[in-house]
Amino acid sequence: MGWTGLETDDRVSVLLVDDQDENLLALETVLAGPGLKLVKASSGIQALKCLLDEDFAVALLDVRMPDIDGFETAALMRERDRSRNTPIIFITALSTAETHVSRGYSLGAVDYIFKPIVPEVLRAKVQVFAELFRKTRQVERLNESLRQRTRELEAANRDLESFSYSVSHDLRAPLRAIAGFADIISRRYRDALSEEARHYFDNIVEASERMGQLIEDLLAYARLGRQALRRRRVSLYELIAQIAADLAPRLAETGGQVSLSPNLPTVHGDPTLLGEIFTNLIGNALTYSRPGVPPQVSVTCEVGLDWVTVQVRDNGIGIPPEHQERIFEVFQRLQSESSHPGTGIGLAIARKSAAMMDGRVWVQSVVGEGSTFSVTLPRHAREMILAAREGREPWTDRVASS
Amino acid sequence: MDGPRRILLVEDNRMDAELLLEAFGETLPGGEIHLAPDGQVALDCLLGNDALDDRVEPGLPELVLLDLKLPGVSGFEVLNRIKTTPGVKRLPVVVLTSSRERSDRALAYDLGANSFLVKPLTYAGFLETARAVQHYWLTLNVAPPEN
Repeated sequence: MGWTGLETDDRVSVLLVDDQDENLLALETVLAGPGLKLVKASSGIQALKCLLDEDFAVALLDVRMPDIDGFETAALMRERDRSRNTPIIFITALSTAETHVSRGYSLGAVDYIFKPIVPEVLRAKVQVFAELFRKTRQVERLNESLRQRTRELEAANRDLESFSYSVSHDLRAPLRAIAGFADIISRRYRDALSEEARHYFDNIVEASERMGQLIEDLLAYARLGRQALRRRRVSLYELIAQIAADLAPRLAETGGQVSLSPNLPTVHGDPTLLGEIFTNLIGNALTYSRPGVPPQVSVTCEVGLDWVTVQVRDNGIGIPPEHQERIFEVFQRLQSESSHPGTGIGLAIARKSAAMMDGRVWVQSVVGEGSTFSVTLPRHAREMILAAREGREPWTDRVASS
Repeated sequence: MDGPRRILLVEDNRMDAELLLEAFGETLPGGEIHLAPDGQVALDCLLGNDALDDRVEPGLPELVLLDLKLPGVSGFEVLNRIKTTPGVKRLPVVVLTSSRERSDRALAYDLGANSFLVKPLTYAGFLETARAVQHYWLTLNVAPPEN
């Protein structure tokens, strides 16, 4: 990133406009210094030409000039994009003519200096504008490098996502062949095979099915970043109640229970992403239960003005502190596949889904007692208020890109 | 319409093609599946090609099973040619691809695909697909009149 540009060319330009050479010389003498680049123009026309090529911190305009005077020059400056906002200080001897002063202000003058010029006053006023210009330029450069950085990161992210998408996509074709032909052999020639050979073929079929599941999950993860966010009003209570209902067979199997706090609020979020988050968190709570202890899952929440935090608390095996970050990475598993089935991508999907809605997911856990996964989501109070004021559905005028 | 049930399978991946031929062989006894390994061959089969007259099969198939990602002439181009050419445009085309992409689905249906299937991951899945396709498209479905 180009931070160096900030110090190297920090001079700012000041435009001096006067038809009298001796006046220009006087201004130049007063303002000369290392921080300012002084550009002289001896007429309004010449000044406008200078303003086409360069941005000025401030223009000092003599009011009384032949051809077009200071006020006319100012009016023409205001008609052009590049000089529309350039501050103008009029220099005039007409201190008593108030009509002139008000005309100048109506043309966007920011200040007046009356002749005879007091050097300290002129220097001080010009320095204020020079400093303002310098700061503005710094902020713009920082903004630009930030925008550049953001663009680079977004591009890298897109590349990565489309890479993992194509990879997982292309991995499926050979996998289909492995699984398919192994399956044909183990079905069609089952009787011709020895018990040992049947066992090996069953292993191939089982492993390729698992690989297929891993690829599906990886695709689901990659697909998350490729779809545009669709925000809707979503009742977290209804959403999570539905998820719990869908999990009924697993609950019956384990003797588990899911209890929901009635104050779960309505948020503005993508229903699919929210579904991914809570399906994975509650599903995990059922999967990682302690042997012989029926899983108890409680979903509670804290609601702030701008955010809501939903806690999914279980009484499961818990997660050692050193692994509490790792579990959110793709394909990280702490338990063996055979004791706790799954591909290890659910929490990565939950975290990415939350991040896509400007939220986050984290965990607090005690080994042997249980874990609490917290999901914080912005409630976008501002957007809701704005939308209500404008009489539209929230987010309807905004389409978030992926 | 009696006689052998004929399907044109357009598939460039040799192994996918073999799996599909196996699966249809198990579920469509007496049927005929002709394999076109790329889009150009598929078009030659369906639209005829004077230079390759001996390769053109007599008569049209009842169904085209079409992969989308093909070398050279893509599946979309094949689909478009079929659906815009008098004489073959009513031929049912079932897309069979490994892509679930929204854009692929949209374009395929826009170009007139009659159905869109995603390739299964297991041979059991292929058998199910073969059974369902032949049951629906060759048994239940009433064929379009020739045009």
